[in-house]
Amino acid sequence: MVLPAGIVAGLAHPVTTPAHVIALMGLGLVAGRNVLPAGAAIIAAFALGLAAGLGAIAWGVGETPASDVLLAGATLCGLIGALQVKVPLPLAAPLALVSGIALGLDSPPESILLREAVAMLIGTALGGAAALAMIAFAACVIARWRHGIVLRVAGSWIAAIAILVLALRWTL
Amino acid sequence: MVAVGLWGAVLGSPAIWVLPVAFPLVMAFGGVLGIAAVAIPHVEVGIAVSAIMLGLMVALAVRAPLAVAITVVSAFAIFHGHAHGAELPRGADAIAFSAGFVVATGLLHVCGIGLGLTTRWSAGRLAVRLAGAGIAGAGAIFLRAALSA
Repeated sequence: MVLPAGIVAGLAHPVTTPAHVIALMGLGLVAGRNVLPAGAAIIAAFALGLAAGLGAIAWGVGETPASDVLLAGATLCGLIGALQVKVPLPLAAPLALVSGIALGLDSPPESILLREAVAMLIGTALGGAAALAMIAFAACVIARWRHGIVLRVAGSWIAAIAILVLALRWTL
Repeated sequence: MVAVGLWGAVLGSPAIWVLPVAFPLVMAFGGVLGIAAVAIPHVEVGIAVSAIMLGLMVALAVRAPLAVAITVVSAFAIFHGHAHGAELPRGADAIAFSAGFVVATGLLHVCGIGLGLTTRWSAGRLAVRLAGAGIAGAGAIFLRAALSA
């Protein structure tokens, strides 16, 4: 079975857009630190937000500061990862929801053909949720190794990159 | 950057991972100051002094308390971040620049830690201390150039 080109492009979109990769990695660190029910709930909240954001795009919402919100979320997630703070679900779920909405709003389809654009939006929803689940699983595994040092370092890198990108966008 | 990793390895746990976690975050703060054109006096001198100080810490195997080590490294991280932020070429891609800047810094820390882990052998301890002396010497050359500029 061959997937439509729009779906394939949509699946690849979250993992080929650098700002989205940074945001997904940051949120993945937060989700991966939680045990399974809470981690799965964070991923579900993100998927829900992503669907809402993509729905808003389909509804015709124009340009928004979604990319900056996404990077602000990545900064927060990176700091949480660097400080090795285990965020309770009532705080992590809204963060995941907002990140999902922002990622959705920042993923307009790159096609003017309705059928292909819808396929891209569906692909983006599936790709974003799947990518987050895989990153969270990897983070969960790595967290057990050497007291999660790798995750702390990754968190500090993610936060530093997001802070610098935001500074560059706002000043240049 | 290599000296940060080396000193972390000399200090052992938890400094070996706390310093590489703290450095990029503080360096990003310095980078923001540089990008926003907030002037910090004598940045080049600060960078040279940081190389001398950190090199000496490694060469003399100074076992400073963790809070002191974080403070010293963070102070120098601001100079490094500011220099990179201020020298950002116009039109540079924001994400590519930021990711390259942070990842390259982190990998230099990893190099330092990798070298520093050889301190479990006597030959490794000597090599690390010599590397620290070399870094301090290079810093002295930079300092002389910065002061004469």
